[in-house]
Amino acid sequence: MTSTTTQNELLHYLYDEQSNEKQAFLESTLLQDTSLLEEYQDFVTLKKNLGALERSPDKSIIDNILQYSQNFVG
Amino acid sequence: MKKYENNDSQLVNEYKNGNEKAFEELVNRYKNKVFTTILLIVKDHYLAEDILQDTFIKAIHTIKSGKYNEQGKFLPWLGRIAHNLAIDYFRREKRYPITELDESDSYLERFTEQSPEALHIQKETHNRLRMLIQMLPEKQREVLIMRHYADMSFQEIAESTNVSVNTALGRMRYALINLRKQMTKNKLKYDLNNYPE
Repeated sequence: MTSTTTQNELLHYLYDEQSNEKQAFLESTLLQDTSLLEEYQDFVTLKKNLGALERSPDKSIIDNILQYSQNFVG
Repeated sequence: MKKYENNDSQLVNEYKNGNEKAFEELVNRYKNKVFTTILLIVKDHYLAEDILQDTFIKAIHTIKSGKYNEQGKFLPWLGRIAHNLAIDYFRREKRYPITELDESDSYLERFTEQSPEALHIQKETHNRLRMLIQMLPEKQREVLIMRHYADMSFQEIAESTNVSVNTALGRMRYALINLRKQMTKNKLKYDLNNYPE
């Protein structure tokens, strides 16, 4: 069974929050643990889909913000 | 128009020195992530736009008054402001959102050259995922939004929500496992090949 530490490291790895040393260790673990590898691959897909849910505000809102900035003196 | 390729810290410095184009680049770089962070919390497009304006106005005041702390990264800082303003709104109004999220994926249709069937599957997948995010327990949803859209590190999330890093990681893990389980259970295809890089 995969330890909690390894599961946590997987999330750091997924979001690129790891040192090179820990990254190399996790990559070697992934090669040996097929269920962890499968989970990681699913998380990568999910992450990609979460990115696709991004929405844009109306252009007029951005224009208002930029206008405000130009008129604001700190 | 000059194209900026500077990092965030350089852009903030240029903005501090009066370069409005540097600020425009920062806004355009992060408007969608910040807007999505807010929208997933308040679930109302127009309210999310109001809070987005308030978020950037707060950023303008902080940077132009010289109070911006350069130690942190720009997007997580902005994301934290957005998250706090969205949560404050509900505390102040003492009500929870009832408006549905806009389900449109029309921008994908405009910019991809996929078959109608692939587009349909993609749209279904995104709609399903949006719904599943809203069904997550609040604490899990909060961490997911903060990490994924506001780009806050697990350490920053832990500090912001007053929990340990391990708790923040645990909540994120359960959020992803729940989403994974539900997506698989409903046998909706969310194959990587459906999405352009």
